Amino acid sequence: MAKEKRIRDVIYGFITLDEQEQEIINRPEFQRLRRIKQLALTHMVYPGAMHTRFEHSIGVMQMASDMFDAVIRNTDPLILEDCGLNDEAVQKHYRKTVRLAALLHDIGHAPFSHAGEDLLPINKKTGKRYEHEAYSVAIVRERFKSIIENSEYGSISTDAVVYLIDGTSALPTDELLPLFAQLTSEQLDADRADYLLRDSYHIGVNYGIYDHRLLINSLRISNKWGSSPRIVIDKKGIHAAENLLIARYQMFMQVYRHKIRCVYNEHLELAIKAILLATKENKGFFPPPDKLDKYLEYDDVYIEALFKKHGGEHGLRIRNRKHWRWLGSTDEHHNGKMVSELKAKYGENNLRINYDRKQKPWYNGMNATLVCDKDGNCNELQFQSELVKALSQPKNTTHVFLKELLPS
Amino acid sequence: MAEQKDRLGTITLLAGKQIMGATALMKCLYLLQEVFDVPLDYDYTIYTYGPYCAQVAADIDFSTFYGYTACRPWQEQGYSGRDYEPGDNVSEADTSFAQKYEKAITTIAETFAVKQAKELELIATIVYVHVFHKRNNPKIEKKQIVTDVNRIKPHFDISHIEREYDNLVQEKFLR
Repeated sequence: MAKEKRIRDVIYGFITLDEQEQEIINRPEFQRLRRIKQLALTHMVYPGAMHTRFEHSIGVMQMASDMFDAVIRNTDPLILEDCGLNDEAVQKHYRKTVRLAALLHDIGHAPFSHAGEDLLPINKKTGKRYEHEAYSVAIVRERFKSIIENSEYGSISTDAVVYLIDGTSALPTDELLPLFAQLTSEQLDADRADYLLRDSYHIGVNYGIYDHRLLINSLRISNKWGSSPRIVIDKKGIHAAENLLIARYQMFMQVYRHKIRCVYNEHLELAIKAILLATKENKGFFPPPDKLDKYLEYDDVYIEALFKKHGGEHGLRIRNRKHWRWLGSTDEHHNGKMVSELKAKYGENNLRINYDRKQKPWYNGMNATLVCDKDGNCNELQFQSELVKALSQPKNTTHVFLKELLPS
Repeated sequence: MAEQKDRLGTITLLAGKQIMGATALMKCLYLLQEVFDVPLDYDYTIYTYGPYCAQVAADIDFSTFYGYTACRPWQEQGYSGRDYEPGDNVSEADTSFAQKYEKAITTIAETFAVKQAKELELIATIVYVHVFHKRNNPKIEKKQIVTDVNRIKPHFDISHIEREYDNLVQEKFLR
């Protein structure tokens, strides 16, 4: 029996780590996550938002394995057999793969989480900007391969873990892996399920809290939809699923797209850019994934220490909480009526228009969560819940700020 | 690279050529990008039913929200799904980008959109595995691609995958 350790967590009470997981967590690459705040400068609005990617990553591992256990427990044994999942050793193998992918999913985050992502360089092969997943994949392959593949649960493949972290970087190693990718990359995945609870806890709001125990215990596999098995929500859990989606909507509108959080993301990007230019780093961008040693030197603490010396106007604005003045927000597209009127009044060059660059709605109706009754009849959540249907209109908020001079 | 308005215009034009289900729309946009080099800038991954991209799903939702396409959910005999067709505001969509690729869009609609979802799943998966390997190894052979597709999708047998692979080569859809 491997030596286990139990650590305390604000959401789950205790989380148990086996020796392999302890070895991963004790690596400097993972410890770096202690120095990357989960919500960047959201603490300018909600002072409690000081939690990090470190505790979130461990939490996602716990959430993913709780979900996995419930899926196995709640699925009809005949369906498990049909999927090749009735053997305990096979179950342990997939459970471990999911746990490792969940633990390592954020390992490549740039400083200040998503706020620093526009400063990742362009991938010369694709002509597109790298995303943090590309760094996660590079770190997993280069720094964690030997730990991952040395498992007591049978040969865990690094490619399988990479596929669950970033599906574009590896092919699935077998038919069942895409099934478990649902636990790491869907509407109700372990990442979202954890960060809503965790962010709410630290921020001190109740918007993000939902009945996660009921939701988890409603998960099971159905083989009655399409050509491959899918993880679905049992009908008894429909209200918990609604609850989570309302929580996401509220958190999206009141925290993640909060106007002051958004303006500090703008200041952050400009301050980090000034620092990277002043320190002659890759023409003002973070190093690419093939320069991991250099990239991993960057974290929030490193950047914050340079705000005063090299961060310029925006470093000072962050240090003294002197952000640009908010003029208004709109659900219109960023070329809409309100934005046009403000451009005419203040001049386009004097405005900073902040819109959601990812252009993804808070809820993606087409990436549907399936709800099934005990007879196996399934339908998409938004066609079974009037509440979700009403909430699932795509919504993007654009904020407009006036670039006033910094008071001396 | 296409902007969101260009992608929405492409979805609108495609749905206007042929009423199609959500899975077909997802796969047809993939084939448009990979087989006909339309620069839609989507990053697909292999998911439960073949190539899938969350941004495509988001764009389809947006095109429905703006009324460029209309979504018609259906349910019969224990099965349900959704079909897409031109919406009330179809004329407001910016299709200037898509019109440059109209011939490819027509071919996709006529050749692939009419196929069963399961058939499209196999075709798109073969193309995905082929493109994935070609990126790193231009000399990748048919045997490797067929083996990988069978490993990911064992409900398609080897001879079925080989047949579909040969068809795609013959039609010059695989390069």
